[in-house]
Amino acid sequence: MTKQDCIKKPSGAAGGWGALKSVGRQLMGTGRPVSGAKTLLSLNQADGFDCPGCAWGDPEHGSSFEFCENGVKAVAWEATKARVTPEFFAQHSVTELQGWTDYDLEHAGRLTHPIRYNPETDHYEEVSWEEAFEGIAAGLNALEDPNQAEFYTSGRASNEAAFLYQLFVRLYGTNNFPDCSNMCHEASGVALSQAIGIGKGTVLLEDFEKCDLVYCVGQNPGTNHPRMLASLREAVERGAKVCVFNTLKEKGLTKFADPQKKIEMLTGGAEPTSTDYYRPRLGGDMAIFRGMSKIVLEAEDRAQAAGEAPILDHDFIREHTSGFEDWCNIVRATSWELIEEQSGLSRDEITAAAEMYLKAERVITTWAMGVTQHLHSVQTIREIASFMFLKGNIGREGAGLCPVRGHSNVQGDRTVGINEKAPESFFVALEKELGVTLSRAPGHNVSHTIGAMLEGSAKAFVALGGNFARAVPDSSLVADAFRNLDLTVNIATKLNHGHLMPGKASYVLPCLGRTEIDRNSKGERQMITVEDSMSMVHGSSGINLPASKTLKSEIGIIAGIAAATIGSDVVKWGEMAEDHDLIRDMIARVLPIYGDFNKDVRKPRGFWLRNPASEREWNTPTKLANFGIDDLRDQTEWQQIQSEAGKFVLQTFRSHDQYNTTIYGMDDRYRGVYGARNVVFIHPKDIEKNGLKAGDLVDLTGCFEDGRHRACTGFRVVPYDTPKGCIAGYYPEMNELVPHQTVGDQSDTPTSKSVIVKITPHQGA
Amino acid sequence: MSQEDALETAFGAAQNAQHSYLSTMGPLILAASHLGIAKDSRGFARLFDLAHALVIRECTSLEQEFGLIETQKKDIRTSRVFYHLTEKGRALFEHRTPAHG
Repeated sequence: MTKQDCIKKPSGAAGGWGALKSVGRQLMGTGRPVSGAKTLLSLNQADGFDCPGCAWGDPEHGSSFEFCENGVKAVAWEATKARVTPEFFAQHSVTELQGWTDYDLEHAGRLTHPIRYNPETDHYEEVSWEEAFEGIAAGLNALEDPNQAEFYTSGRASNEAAFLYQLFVRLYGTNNFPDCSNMCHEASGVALSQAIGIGKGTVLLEDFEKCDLVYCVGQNPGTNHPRMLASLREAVERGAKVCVFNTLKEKGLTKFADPQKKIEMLTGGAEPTSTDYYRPRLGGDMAIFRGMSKIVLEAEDRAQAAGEAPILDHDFIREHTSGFEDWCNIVRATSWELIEEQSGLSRDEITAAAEMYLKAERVITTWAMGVTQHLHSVQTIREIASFMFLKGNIGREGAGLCPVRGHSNVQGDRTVGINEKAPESFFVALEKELGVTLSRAPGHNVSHTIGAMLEGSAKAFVALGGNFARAVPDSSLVADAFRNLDLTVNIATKLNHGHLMPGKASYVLPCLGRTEIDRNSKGERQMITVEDSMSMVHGSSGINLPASKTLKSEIGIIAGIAAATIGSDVVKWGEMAEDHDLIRDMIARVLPIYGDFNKDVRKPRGFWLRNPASEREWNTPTKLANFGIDDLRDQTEWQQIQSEAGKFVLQTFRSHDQYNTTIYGMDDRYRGVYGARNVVFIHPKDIEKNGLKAGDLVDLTGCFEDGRHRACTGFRVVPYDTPKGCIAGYYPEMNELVPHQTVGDQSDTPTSKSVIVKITPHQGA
Repeated sequence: MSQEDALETAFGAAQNAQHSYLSTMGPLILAASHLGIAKDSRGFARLFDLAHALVIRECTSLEQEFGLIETQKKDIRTSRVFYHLTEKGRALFEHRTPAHG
């Protein structure tokens, strides 16, 4: 590829219809009934399936298929005809497959049979389910201590699979639950628990229809949760303000298609999704909200002096909050100089953004990884919450806090018990249900798991989905550690690099995809459930034939491993796998918040898991909403590099053809990059200043000082509208530059949005 | 006969075959292919304002369950499926509507 081949004009909108469209749609909608057919509308009923893409809420219908481009890719990805069979593994050794790209591995197709690694031949070989379960059980039971095993969960796992999984793991004897949320919204969970008593957002989808201002912070919905753009566009259309704080100029946050015309959602559109767009420096979000808070407090002072109506919601602050005065003192003491330097925005810009807040009655603030993957993410989210408390923008219609989750059930997995430090109330309820005593010893999160693997205390790794080895920081270091494990088990739909780092005994167990029909031994269809970012729980049952007759559901696989490892005296694993209603009954007994789970989840749109904070009930130690009393950092990463030439702050992010570590394609059309992933986005002035040109190859070197050489070499320079000193590139490729030791304060989230690196011209061919 | 009328007639012919189509989109895909209106999944999705993934799913069913269409090629990046009617698929429309394209 030549130096300019990968950089082209970003793609634009498309459209165009004929009279045929209306005829065709009429035929589909009102034509004579087709015998035995499911209509398109059935996709929105309780027997439809949940899109395995993002965790954005669904309008009006629950177990739904409100399609977007992500959904299209996710479904097509599962529905591929390509198969990775035992014959495939006979042809390709593990060592050979390690040389394949993530893209090529995923596109080899769906896994069809359980396989076990043969170290003598370096090939995976077919194994029966029974042999696999017995082998895994033997491996787990051979460990000296259950805490030597790590049990990872992907956010794709259903509520039922996740609940059964944690049940097995706790009965096995450990609380080691590294979870994908540890790498994304853990900071939101920690900060919101401190601030409002629950680690979840407080808004429903309907609140976006009532708000008059949305602050959208550190997120790129066009790629990561496109359906959110529909809500933003509708808000703009009815006159609400949508104020974006995002380091990069992202196309989806400036305009988007009519959400009712799904084809436009696939091709981009022309209607605005924001009214105001500010591009702060990486790590500058806390400073923005601190600055806006200063403006609001100053406006309150002026109003009081003039005898005018107050700006603040004093009733809310008095009745519902704690720490207001202390927080005010810190806000007033923070200098504008520091705020401007950290945020990269001028005082005038911050004032303009804050004036929207002064005028607005109902405000929502949303955020994602741009906020959560920094050293001070918890403090930043506390600051956002404090700012929102000022006018009581929580717990009422059209207002609230909205962390937008990534994978489709990452929130639900945590709700049903995937938690390395579960609350005592959960253990008590589980013990009452099971009639046994469980260990309370705090388990491992992702960061702890990496540490245990690197120091050699971890001996086994079981993954319920995902691609842990590629998703984590210092990915090659972790890959080496994987090879030293006694046992690795991966439950997956497709092959990925995480499967190609076999320990002494390794199994890959193929499971059904979300879109596929799950039948029990009697041929009865089974349903699973998920929880979206708005705490709506809804059912999902597949509609496609399984990719292979050999596949088992995730639930069936967990039940098989559990029965073989710890027996079925306490939990009848086989019965649970046969009838998922039994799992839901148990979930509801252990977690009463689920109410009449089996009944309610069969209603259209499912049901809402009550969020006390959304009703101004605060389950914090103070029984109040707590202002966060934190200073700004002395120096952000951007400030730290100012005196050092050639250094930048790197953020890793997804391309448009990507979902987490799954690479659907090689294009990033909204950013004008085609057919390449080894690229780095840099401000044109920074390119010039460093003697580079667009398309040049450069090497990126990590600057974290622990003696390890971290480098990504031969990456192509792409000029992009990003603040000077702030650069960007794709993960998982650039995870190599993210040190596993730098994690968020209190959250342990990898600091993937603030990695200091040095850029030099590429050395060598 | 206008193209719209031809589409309606062909749709009826495909529908009358009593296949357990996944949805009413199935006979429309067959009819559109027969008339040369749309011969790939994305083109069909754009024409009728439908989500591409739904069309792909329907195409998979039409091919794998009923053998009414056959995939000619597939674009890996976009998942766009190019297909044509099989002999069994063409038989649905014999003596009913003229084919185009």
